[in-house]
Formats: sequence, structure tokens, C-alpha cells
Amino acid sequence: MIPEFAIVGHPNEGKSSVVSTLSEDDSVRISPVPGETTECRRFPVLIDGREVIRFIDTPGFQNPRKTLAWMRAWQGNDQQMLTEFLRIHGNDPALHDDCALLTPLAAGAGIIFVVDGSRPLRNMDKAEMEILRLTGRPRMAIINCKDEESRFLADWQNEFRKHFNSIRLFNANKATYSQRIALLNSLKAIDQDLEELIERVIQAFAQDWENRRRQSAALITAMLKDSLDYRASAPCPTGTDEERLRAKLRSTYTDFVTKRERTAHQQLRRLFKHNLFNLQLPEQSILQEDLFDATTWKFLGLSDEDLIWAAAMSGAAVGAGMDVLAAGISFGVFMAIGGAVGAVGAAVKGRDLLTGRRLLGMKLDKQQMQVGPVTNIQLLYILLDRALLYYSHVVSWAHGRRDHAVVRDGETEKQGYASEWTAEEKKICDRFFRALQKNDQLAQEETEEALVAMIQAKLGEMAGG
Amino acid sequence: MQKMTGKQWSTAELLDLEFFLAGDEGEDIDRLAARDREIWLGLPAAVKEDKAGGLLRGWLNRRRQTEQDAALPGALWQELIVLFAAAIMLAGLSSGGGLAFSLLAYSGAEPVNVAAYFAVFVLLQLALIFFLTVSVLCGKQRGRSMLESSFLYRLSERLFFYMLERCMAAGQRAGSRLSAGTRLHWAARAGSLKHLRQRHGLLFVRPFFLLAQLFGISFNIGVLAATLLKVIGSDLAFGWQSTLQIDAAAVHALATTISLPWTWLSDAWVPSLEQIQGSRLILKDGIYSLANRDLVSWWPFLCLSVLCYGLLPRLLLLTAGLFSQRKELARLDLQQGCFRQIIQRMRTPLITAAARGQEGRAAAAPLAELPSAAEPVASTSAQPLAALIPEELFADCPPEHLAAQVRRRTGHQLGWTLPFWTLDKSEEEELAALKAAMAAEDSADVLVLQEAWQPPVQEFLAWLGLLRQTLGPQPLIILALLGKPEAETMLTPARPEHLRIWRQKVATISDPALQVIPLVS
Repeated sequence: MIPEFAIVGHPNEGKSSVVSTLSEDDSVRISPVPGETTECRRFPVLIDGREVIRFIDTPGFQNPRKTLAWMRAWQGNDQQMLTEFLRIHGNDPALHDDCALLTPLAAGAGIIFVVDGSRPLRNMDKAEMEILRLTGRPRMAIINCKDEESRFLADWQNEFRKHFNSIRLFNANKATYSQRIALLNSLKAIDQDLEELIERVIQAFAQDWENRRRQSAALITAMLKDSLDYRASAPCPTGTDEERLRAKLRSTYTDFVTKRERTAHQQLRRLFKHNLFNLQLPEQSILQEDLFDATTWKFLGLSDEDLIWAAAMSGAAVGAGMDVLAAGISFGVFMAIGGAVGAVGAAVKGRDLLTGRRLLGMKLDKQQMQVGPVTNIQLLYILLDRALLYYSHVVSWAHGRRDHAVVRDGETEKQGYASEWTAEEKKICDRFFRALQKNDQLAQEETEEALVAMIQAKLGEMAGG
Repeated sequence: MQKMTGKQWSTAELLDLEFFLAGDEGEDIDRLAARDREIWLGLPAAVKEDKAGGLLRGWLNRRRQTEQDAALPGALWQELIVLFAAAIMLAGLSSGGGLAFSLLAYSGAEPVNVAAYFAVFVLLQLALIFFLTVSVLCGKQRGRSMLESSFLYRLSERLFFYMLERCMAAGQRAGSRLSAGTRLHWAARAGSLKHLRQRHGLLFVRPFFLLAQLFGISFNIGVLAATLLKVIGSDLAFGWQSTLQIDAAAVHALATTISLPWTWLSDAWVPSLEQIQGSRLILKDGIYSLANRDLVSWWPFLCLSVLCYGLLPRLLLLTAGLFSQRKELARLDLQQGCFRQIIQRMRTPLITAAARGQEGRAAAAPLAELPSAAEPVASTSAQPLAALIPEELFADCPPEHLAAQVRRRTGHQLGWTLPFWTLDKSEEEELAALKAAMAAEDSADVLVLQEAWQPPVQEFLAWLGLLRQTLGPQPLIILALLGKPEAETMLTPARPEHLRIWRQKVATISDPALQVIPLVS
């Protein structure tokens, strides 16, 4: 048997948001205008193509007083009450929504009653709770606060205790994976018959989540590998406009990495079943910044901080200075890389620059110009950090959420994850990077595996993960 | 019901009045009060003392003047009607004339078939009129007006509402494609159409009926003119034929019966038995044997048939339509809540609460019973307002605070309050008690308090319908909306998005005298 739960309540209390979040389905229509949902819609949760639990989105109560009056006057068998109500009122257009929401209950679904806890409790709500009590179905209540208002919470909780076996605060716009699991755990309490089924569902969820983490880690590692290993070259016979060629190669490189990174992010998004979620982070967020912009480096606070900081501040000036030292050979190379990456130039030190090795591994001789593979491990940390940041947003974005203007406080604007890793963890990254540089297949496979395992563990430690 | 004094309202004026009323919906009520009072102050003294009709016309004229640049629906309506009438007359004349010309084609070989002419220009029209008469008679039994029982009207009405329902049903089915906002918007639009229909009956539909009659008249004139022109200007021959061995006497008897309306004038306008016999056409014999005198004897009969059975009934219908249009305009009910609001606002003096020198920026608040030496307060608002408060809010709503707020906001004096949706009484009992109390306290209008953040559920809208049914069409129902209660007071401002939803939802129940206002600004 597949456990089935109808999400019921007054109109515009956030039932659809709750269903959307619980079933990880962002195709549910949600609007601030009451009456958006007019028919029941089933949302099965599939794990490996197998349905484990089903949530039913229902329209809101439109005639609670009338419905309750009818039910109170009912003299027959309690088991027959709902069926009879539906039979008598099924064709009454005025009671269409009420009949629609009671239909799944008559078919045996459990009840999740949703209220907006940021508003006062009214008689209509009491009537609705009483109707649900009279149906005799197992039921729990969810307080889904739409506003930051807690004055009325106590009233709601007091009233709920009279009617429900289980009560939970659940914000459909912010609920994380663990909060969803906690809600499922509460469902176990509403009916002993359901306990075992729900436990199995929870286990299936946990397994599924672990799978997603593993896949995410693999996706991120693949992206790192492709980006760090990328190389492109172009013939450079005498007389070629070297400056233009360098700029072209550099842009080929940045285009590739940017695209590859975007693809990986989209894959992560799909893995977590987000269709609407479109990351729009505040201006200062690292994910909004250009991958090759100095601010990105500064923000993540990676290694040799002083040097990077100083270089980022002076930017192009450092580049110009190096050009003078390189006595014309490197003339324009620094300009091509640009003041924005001046910080990186400083990080790889002057000697490297004089030999023609660059952050992007740009080589210059009379015949061939090549960009990549990257020679500076910092790019690995940047890409990794950005992927982890993206992941953290994807997992903490509730499917029921429909606003796209994200306001985040300064606290969550953390520095890069990698800057806090232990030396051992950084070593795993180093080994992976070196294996790529050496083009050593065997070492690559080994280090890749270690990196995937480490990233998977890091994803597990994240909030919401 | 108040009869209009003086000049009668025209459809165009009414349209403009409705247009301005619709424009006022959702506007800030303080601003409306100030505007209407200003209009009143600017009216000539004679108009100020006038009854509702005169005052309303004064208000309308002033609003029309201020909106001179805008295209007003009244003027548009008039222009359209004239344009339609001209086009329809032209179409009628040309189609009638053209059809007659083609039917009256005669080259000397075969005379014009009397039966065909009669069938096309008389029988067909008679059948249409017969149909209309039957449906009118049936409609009368069911209490419908002539226009409402017209087949064409019913057909188009049915079709319109069928399409509307189909669209709504399709919209509901396609819930995933149509948002609640869009659905609500269209339901509100449909509601305001019903509004208009309820408030003004057939005023805006009848002109189309009149246009149809105009078409009929010009069609018949076209037929007559073409026939007469042909008769005068060319050589025509009329004959009749039949495969059946019909006796000429039978045809004569039929023709005599048909010509009963005019035989009392002259016998010459119906063909005699000999003439009928002489105009019988047997194709194998040709027409050479027939006498010319008999062959031309039919035309007066045919022309008079068109006149009597085609033109005259249409003229009668047009006259009847014009008459009922006038009658309906004359009995226009200006005591309806929506019109009374305007008059109430005009007659309510404003007090300006501002220090000297700041009047320009001061907020003007209406106060009904403040007497002013310059403008005596009229007695419209003397009747106290009855307030209905949901039982659960009743205890938290001190009557004196509410009364002060209602007076400040609407200019009405709050008479007494009554809880609704109580636990111990049914809705019907509560409303019966309300009606009795209103009669006893001499209250004309009702204020219903509600919280705007609560979604407008079906149950509440149905209750509003029941309230209207209990009160009758005239009383104004003011639905005063509040925001979420604060610790210290219930009377908080409602959020604009909630107000908008309530306004749209209330519009779907088509109650013209139901006004939605935020009680606290």
C-alpha cells in the first residue's frame, strides 16, 4: 500500500507550497490570489521509478459552516458520512471545492491540515478542524507561517492540541531536507498502521539523498577535471598579430571553463529536481562574479592572502611592472590577462612569469601559442568553492518557494569553503591536480576517487544537505 | 421608486453615469467625498435643492465637463447607433429593392409568379412575425417582456451565456494554464455585465431590437418602391400556376381573405374571379391566349399585402419598442444604493482638519452631521446605519470607536450593531432579526464588517446574497474591511492586495449597491 496524504485547509494558507516542497515538484501552481487550486492533484514521490508516498493538493474549504452543519446533523453510520455528503452535494457548484477536498479523504487518505500561523485563529478554522475530526481520518497539523509574525502561534497550538495527533511548524518556503524528514517522522505518530510504511519511505528518502550527494560529487569532480585539463593551441608563424591571438586563446579558454561550469551547475539543479529555481544571488555573491575576476579570488580568501590581496588591490599596476621586467618578451601577455587577474600574476611569482608560464599555462614561442592546461591550483579551489556554494543554494531552496528576489544576510556570505579545509583535505586536491598536470592516467583515477569521496563528505556536512 | 422629474434620462447619459460609477470603484473614498462635495458646491442653487434626479444630472454634467478630453461611452454609443441605423437602413432598402427587382424580371415569355412573390415578401415575413407573436404570448405567461421573449434575443442570449459558461468551464479545466488571478478578473468582468443587466434591464439591449425593426421597415419600403417603379416604368404581367387542379374560385377566396384589411376601402385592389381565371398560366399553351387586363390585375394586391403584412407590423413593433424604451427610462430607480452614495457624498459637508495656512495640503474628512451655516446639511444621512459584525470580532470591537471611524470614513451615523454568524442562530433568523430591527430603528443602509486578510470564501459571498435578498434592492451594503488586529485595536488598515481581491470577488456577485471600502485608510 502506498501511503496517501491530502493537504487540506482554508484557501490561501500555503497548501500548494507545502505539497510542492514535500514532493519536490516545483510545477505546482502557487499564487497570492486565493482559489488558485480548484481540483485535487496527486503528487507521487518516486524513488527509482517506484512510488513511495503520495501527496494530494486540494482546493481550500469554501463552505466550512454549511459542511459542518450538515455533518453534525448526520444521523447515519459514521463510516458512510463522507460518501453520503459527496453523493448529495457532488453536483452543487457552490460546494464544488468542498466536495473536491473531501473526496480523497473519503477514499482513505490521511490528513495534513495546513494553516498560516501568522494570522489569528477564527471560527471558520475551528469549523474546518471539526469537519476533519468528524471524518475520523488520521491527521496532523502543519503551521506554515507566511509572515514573520508569531503573536498568534500560541492560540493555534492550543486549538490544534484538541483536534490533532501531531503538530509541526513547517515553513514551506524554507524547509530543508532534514525538516522534510522530520515532518515525515511526525506523520508516523498520527497512525500506528502507517508507522512502518512511513519508516520505509524515510529510509528510501535517506538513500536517495545519499545517492544524490554521490552523483553531485562526481559531477563536480568531472567538471574540475575537464576545466583544469583543458588546452587549446593555435599556430603562430612570424608576422602574426600575437596580441590578438593571445586574446583569442584566452577568451576560448575562459568560454570553455565558464560553459563547463554552467553545465555542471545545471546538472546539479536537475539532480535536485529544480525547474524554476534560477540562482539570483546578491551582487556581492561570489557566484555572480566572473570566474576570472579579481574579486572572486579575493572573496574566497585562498592561500597566500597577503600577496593576493595586495595584487588584487594594485591589479594592472603589478601586471605592467612585470612587463617591464620581462623586457618586451611578455609584453602584452599581462595586459591580455588583464589587471583583473593581476592578483593571480602575483601569486605565481615573478620567476614563473619570466619563463613564460602563466596562470593559464600560456606559452609563447615563434611557432605555436598554447593556452592550458592550467598551471595554478587556485583555479581548482575557485571552481570547487563555487560548485559547493551553488550546491548549498540548490539543496536549501524549497520547491514550494516562488520568489526570486533573494535577500541573504551577511553571515551566509561565507568565505570559500576550501579555505577552512584541513591540510590533509587540501592534499587530496593537490594530488588530483598534480595527476592531471602529469597526465598520469593511473594516478588520475586514484586521486579522482579520493576527491569524489571527500566532496561527498563535504556535501553531507553542509546545512540542508 | 422615484419618478424622474423634469427631463428624462437618455441612454447615453446613463451610460456615462455607469462609466463614472465604475471609474470610482476602488478609489480612495476621502478623495471621492471631497470631489463630490466640490461638485455640489459649484452647482446652481436651484439644482442643489433638487431631488435625486436633478442632483445626479448636475453631478454627471460636471463630471462630463471635467472629462471633456476623454472619449465618453455615451457619445460613442450615440454615434454608433446613428451609424448603425444608417447602415441598416441602407442595407434594408438595397436588399429589399434588389430582391424585388430580380423577382419581377419579365421578358414577355413568362409572367411573374404571384405565388413566388407572395411567398418571399409576405409569407416569410408573416412567419417571422407569427413566430415573434407566439413567443411573446408564451413569454407573457412567464412574465417576460416582449423583447425578452423574442426568439432572436433568446437565441443570442443563450448563445452568449453558453459561450461564457463554456469559456469559464474550459478555464476551470485548464486550471494549470489559467491563474486564479485571471479567473477572478474575468469572473469580475462577467459580474459587472450582469450588474448592468440587473440595474437597467433591457435599456442597452433594446436598441438592437429597434435596429432590427428598422431593417424590416426599410426592407419593405425597398420592396414596395421597387415593385411600384417596375409597375410604372415597365410592362409587367403576373400569373399563377399549379400542377394541382385547383379551382380559380378557391384562389379567389384565398385572395379575398388575405385582402380583408383593405377591401373595405376598394374592391378594385383585389383581383376578381374572372381576372384570377384569366391569369392562370398553363405553360404548354403559353401566355398569348391570356388577356392583358387579367395579367396586370395582381399588382395592387401584392403591394398592399407587403404594406399590410410586412411594413405595418414592423412599424408597430418599432413604435412599441420606442415606447417601452421611454417607459423604462422614465421609471429609472434613482434610489438604488449606488446612486444614493453620490448624492450622499454631495450633500455631506467636509471639515478640514488643518492649521491655518496649511489648508492646501490638509486631508479633508467628511462629517455627516456637522451643520454648516453656508451649506445646510441635507437629511439623506439622517437615517442611522446598521452594522453587522462577525460574532468572533463583536466583543473586540467597541461600538463607540467603530461609530467614530465609520463617521469619519463614510459620513454615516452608526445606529446600532448586531453580530452575525453566531453559534446559536441560523443565518435566516439573524437576517430576519436584522430586518425587523432596521424597520424599528428606521435604518436605510447596512455596514458589514469583515477582515480583509481572510480570503473571500463562497460561504460569505452567498451570505451577502442572502443579505441582499432580505433587504431588497435599495439599501446600500457597505462592506468595510479591516487589516490584521493589533494588540491594542481591531481597527487597522487592510492591505491593498487584499482589498483588490475582495473587490474583484465581490464584483462576481453582481450587486450594484454593494460597496467595498477599507474602513481604516
